[in-house]
Amino acid sequence: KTPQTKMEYGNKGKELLIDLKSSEFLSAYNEDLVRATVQECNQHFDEINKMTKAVPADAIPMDCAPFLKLHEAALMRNKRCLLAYHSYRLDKLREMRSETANAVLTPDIRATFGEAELDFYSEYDRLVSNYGAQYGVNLTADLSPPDAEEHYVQVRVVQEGLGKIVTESGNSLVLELGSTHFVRRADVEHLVVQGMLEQLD
Amino acid sequence: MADFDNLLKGFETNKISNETSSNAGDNFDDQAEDAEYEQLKRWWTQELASPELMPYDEECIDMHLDLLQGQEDIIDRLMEGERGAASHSITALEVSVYRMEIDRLRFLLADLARCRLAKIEKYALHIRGTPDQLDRLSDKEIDYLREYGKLVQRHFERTVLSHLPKAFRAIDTAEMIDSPDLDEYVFCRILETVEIETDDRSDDDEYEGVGVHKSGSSLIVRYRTVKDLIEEGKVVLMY
Repeated sequence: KTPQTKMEYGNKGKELLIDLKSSEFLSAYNEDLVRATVQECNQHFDEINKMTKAVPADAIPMDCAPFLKLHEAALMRNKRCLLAYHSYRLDKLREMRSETANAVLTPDIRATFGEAELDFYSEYDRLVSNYGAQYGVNLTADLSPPDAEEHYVQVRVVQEGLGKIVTESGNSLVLELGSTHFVRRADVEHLVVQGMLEQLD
Repeated sequence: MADFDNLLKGFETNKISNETSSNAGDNFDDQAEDAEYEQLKRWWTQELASPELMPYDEECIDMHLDLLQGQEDIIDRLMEGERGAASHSITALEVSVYRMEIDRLRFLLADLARCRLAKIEKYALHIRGTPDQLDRLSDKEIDYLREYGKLVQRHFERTVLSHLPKAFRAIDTAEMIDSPDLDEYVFCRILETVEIETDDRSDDDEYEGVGVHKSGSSLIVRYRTVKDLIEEGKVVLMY
């Protein structure tokens, strides 16, 4: 009895990995490919089941062993590719959270990630923020060592409608569009990072 | 210069008055503060340079967090006292110096935390399964590990595992767990003369077996070889 041979061993998994490389940052979440890979896994599992059901449980003939092993190996390989695919994307999400001071993702980045991944991101953001709050230090601030020269910076307002703000050091600034201010870096760092102010070198 | 002396006296008085108002109860002897800071800085360097987690020094962190709060209080008081004070420019200078110290401290604490969390996330399964690693986490970090682990597990289950056959849903079998690469090469400085045994067979034949390394010298070596010496404080990683 010759089992039906599949020509797709691990191919879908491989495609997933190639997908990761296909764009400079990350390509959009490929739900179809993920589904296809999972389906391939389940097909291998079905083959295994078909074979093991056809023989008594404790008397699997030796010539079935290579086929069983092959299907199991293909399944495991696809599983590994699936996990690697998702894990790599999670790494990118985590990277973004730590590199940008604000947790809000821009729309085009949001479009790259699937629903589950965006859920992960907001949960992760909450987790890190909570930790920072408990620890006592904001982990998204102070991303680089303080530099005495950069203590004061010159910034220009590039966003409209910001109005008047009172800084941590007690000064008030009127943030009119196009106006420049010479202020303490720490007072305006969060605004620069969000793109509301532009730092002039 | 008389003015400068007055300025320095101003610092002293503030530090002394802070001692009575702060509830940290630490001694504000300049020497001790510097040593504590150096200790924090060294921990930060080691954490960045080492492939695995460094042991958690709760006392050090707590002490510096208290210090941070204390400095912020000083600044607030100085700012309030500033209105109408004749020594406006001196106060401004004091404030700016305290600010710089706070910025420096905050950065160290934040970067240290970020570095540790990154390692915890990367080696979550490994740490969970190794008691010696778990010991190196603070209580809050253990909570973090647990929550993070749940988060990742849920994500994988939702996207992959729940769609696979039951027998194939595990993600913590031995070969799937990432652990830190202890064979990574590191730069280090010897603090105390030690004997180091290396078994790098790939190196030149003349450098086999045990070598004596004098205090003050530097070395490039596999992390694993000096791991224990680092824990004993005899060797220090350079970043």
